[in-house]
Amino acid sequence: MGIIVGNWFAIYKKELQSYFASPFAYVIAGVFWLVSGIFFLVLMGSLLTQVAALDAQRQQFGGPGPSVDVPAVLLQNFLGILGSLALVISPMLSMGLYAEERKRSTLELLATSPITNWGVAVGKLLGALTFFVGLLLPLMVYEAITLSAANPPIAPGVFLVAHLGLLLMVASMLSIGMFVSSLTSNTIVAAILTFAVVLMLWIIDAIGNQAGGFWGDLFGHLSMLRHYNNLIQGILDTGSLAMLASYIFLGVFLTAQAVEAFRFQRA
Amino acid sequence: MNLKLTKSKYWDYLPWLGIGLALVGLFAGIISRDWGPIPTGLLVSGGAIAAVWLLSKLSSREFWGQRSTQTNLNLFIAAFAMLLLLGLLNFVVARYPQRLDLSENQIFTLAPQSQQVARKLNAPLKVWLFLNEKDQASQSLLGNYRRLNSKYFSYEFVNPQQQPGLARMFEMKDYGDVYLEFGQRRQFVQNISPQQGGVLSESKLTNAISRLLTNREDRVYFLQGHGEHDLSKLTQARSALEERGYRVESLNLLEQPAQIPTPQPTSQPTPTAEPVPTPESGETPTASATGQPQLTTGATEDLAIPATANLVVISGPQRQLFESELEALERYLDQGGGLMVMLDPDNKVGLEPLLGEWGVTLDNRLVVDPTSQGVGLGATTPLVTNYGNHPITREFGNGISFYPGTQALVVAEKPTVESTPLLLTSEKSWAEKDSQLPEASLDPSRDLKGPLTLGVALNKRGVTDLAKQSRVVVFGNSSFATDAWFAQQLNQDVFVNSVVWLSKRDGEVLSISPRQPTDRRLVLDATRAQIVALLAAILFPLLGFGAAGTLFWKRR
Repeated sequence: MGIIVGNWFAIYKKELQSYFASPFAYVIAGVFWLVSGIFFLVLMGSLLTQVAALDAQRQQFGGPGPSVDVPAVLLQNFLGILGSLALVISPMLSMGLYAEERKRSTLELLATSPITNWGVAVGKLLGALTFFVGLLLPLMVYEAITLSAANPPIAPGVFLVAHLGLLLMVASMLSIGMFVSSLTSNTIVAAILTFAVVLMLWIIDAIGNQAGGFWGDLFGHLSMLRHYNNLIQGILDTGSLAMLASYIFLGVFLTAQAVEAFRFQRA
Repeated sequence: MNLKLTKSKYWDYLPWLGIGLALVGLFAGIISRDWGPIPTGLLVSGGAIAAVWLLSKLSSREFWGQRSTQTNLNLFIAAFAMLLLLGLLNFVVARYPQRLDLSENQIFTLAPQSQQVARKLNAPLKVWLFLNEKDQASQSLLGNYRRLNSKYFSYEFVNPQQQPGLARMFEMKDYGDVYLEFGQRRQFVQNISPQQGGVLSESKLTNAISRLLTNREDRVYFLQGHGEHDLSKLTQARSALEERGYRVESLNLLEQPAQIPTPQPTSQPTPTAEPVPTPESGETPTASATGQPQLTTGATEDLAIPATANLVVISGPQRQLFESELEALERYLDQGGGLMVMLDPDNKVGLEPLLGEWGVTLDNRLVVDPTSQGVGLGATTPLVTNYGNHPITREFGNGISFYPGTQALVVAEKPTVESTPLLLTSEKSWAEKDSQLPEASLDPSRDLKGPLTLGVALNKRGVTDLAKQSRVVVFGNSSFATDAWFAQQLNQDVFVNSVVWLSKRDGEVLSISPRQPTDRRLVLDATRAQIVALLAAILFPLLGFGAAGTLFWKRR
């Protein structure tokens, strides 16, 4: 394993450095934080208002009604939105991973370096993922501040599993995006293609629902959205974990193959 | 020469066109489930185009010579092999999934009773849902059942307009009806049309399945005529029982045609079959009460509980029962019947001797529980979180049930009776003798200190034939099962489980309450809310844009 993955750390560091030195990456960060922050506040506001109205009604008519777990609802809705946001920004994060190298003609250097193709791919993927974790951390900070005001207090379990789910799903999307990026030298094309593929894998769930029986099950299982929804609700299902891990692995594998094949291609 | 150039410019994009068309055709066919001319046409033409390109490539010698071809081929083969491998792996994992539900209260896992019923299936059972919209919640619920028993449990969403024959076979009445099919038998579950906002309920589904599996019809008779709760006040209890395959009827023993009147003297009016006016004391009506000379009909038939009764419920009587009625109840119990008695305090109805035989004495003092005030109920509505070790209450854990206006029961050991207290109040409660005073406090000389028993389950010892074993459940309160209180917390489980136990469905699934999330609120004070708003909408975005701006500026 060590030999296969090789000295990915150098690539990882380089990739991270390029993210943190790129103004474009910060713009993405700013937009992501702004949009998610606004959504969070709007969600929280509307949820608190609804629940307050419900409680007032209950006071009047007496007797306990259906129970509402406000922090859990907030967490789930917010993570649902974050999933959609991630769907949009992850192509942008992964588009440059290989396409830039192609554009700057440094891909030949990489392909012939002592670092294996797998090592390069893993390093780049981890770099992109780490950047996303950096995007996520401020969110988790103010989520934690809000959720700590829950009465009675909540357990950290679901919070952690839900964010783990987000990370796994984003890793899948980045991995696939990395593969697409390795096929072309144009970053925009890479981004658009990635978005198309990931969107397809997202909505294949709905198609699966429409069809029934075998195809329905197949498409449903392929759908990242379904597995993501399971995870953010706190359900650890081996099927979901296996599927997302497969996407991650597949992306890295195909990237390594593509770079290998690149050696003999023209243009 | 020219032709060749044009060919090579666009030719290599052909396979993508072919694949694209084929995919469109594939999806069209799958979604519409109708492999008509358009889907198949697209599929075939797309496949043909891709095939043509492939063939031309394969047949050109120069193609095979290129090294890029070889490596590309390697790439495709490796990719294909990996896809196959991963596909197989995921298929196996999907077949035998393991799930860990980390959500609080495990709301996404089936109740143990549902799991039990799903596993017990030993013949194919299919759930038919006659509606188009496949909402997430119903699907995941059905998926949960299927995962437990994929051999025999299946479900299908059917468009009633596309398959009218199927709809007719089930006698579908409304769009959104859900039916079960088990062998030759069909069962209606519920209606979940989106207009009504219906969602498939786990308890209804499990109940319907268990009903199909057991194929019993049990009858519950609610005694009437002494001021008991009318069935119109017990609609929720009634529907909960009917869901579980019970037939609920009211029973007024004095209206029973079991009495055969002897021929009357012609000058006197024949007595009508109306309930006799309520007596002031425990005596049978005399001439003075009715104002007419009392006619004796010389009825020789005694009152009797109908033989089809699986159990009798006496819910909150306020007036005396007649000797004949009490005797009928005794006879019924002796033959192995089931009786549920719910007696509110301050009501002397004449059941004391019968209960005394079973070792139960009514305390008749109002139970006061200061802990109830903590959850917004009055102190005269005691909370119970402590349950006895009995099939009725075994699965309750520390769940909550409450009983507005109740008395305690004192249970003495009797050699022929096996008794288990079901409901125990907290230690802070007591039975208050002077319940008229505005401020109640424990007076040890007049009051009974808690914990108090509010409900007890009794059965005759030593009777090996289950059908002949008489069972009684006594509660010191009747309101907990009425419509205002029935659906609260575990109240319905207490009632339904008692009925199930009394009707001796011992192998049966006991009641399911839908899992609820913990009731929680976010208590944000102003500063905290402000901090969050600041961080979320202003601080972090500014950080991002600021960094971007600085970098741009530096690069100039």
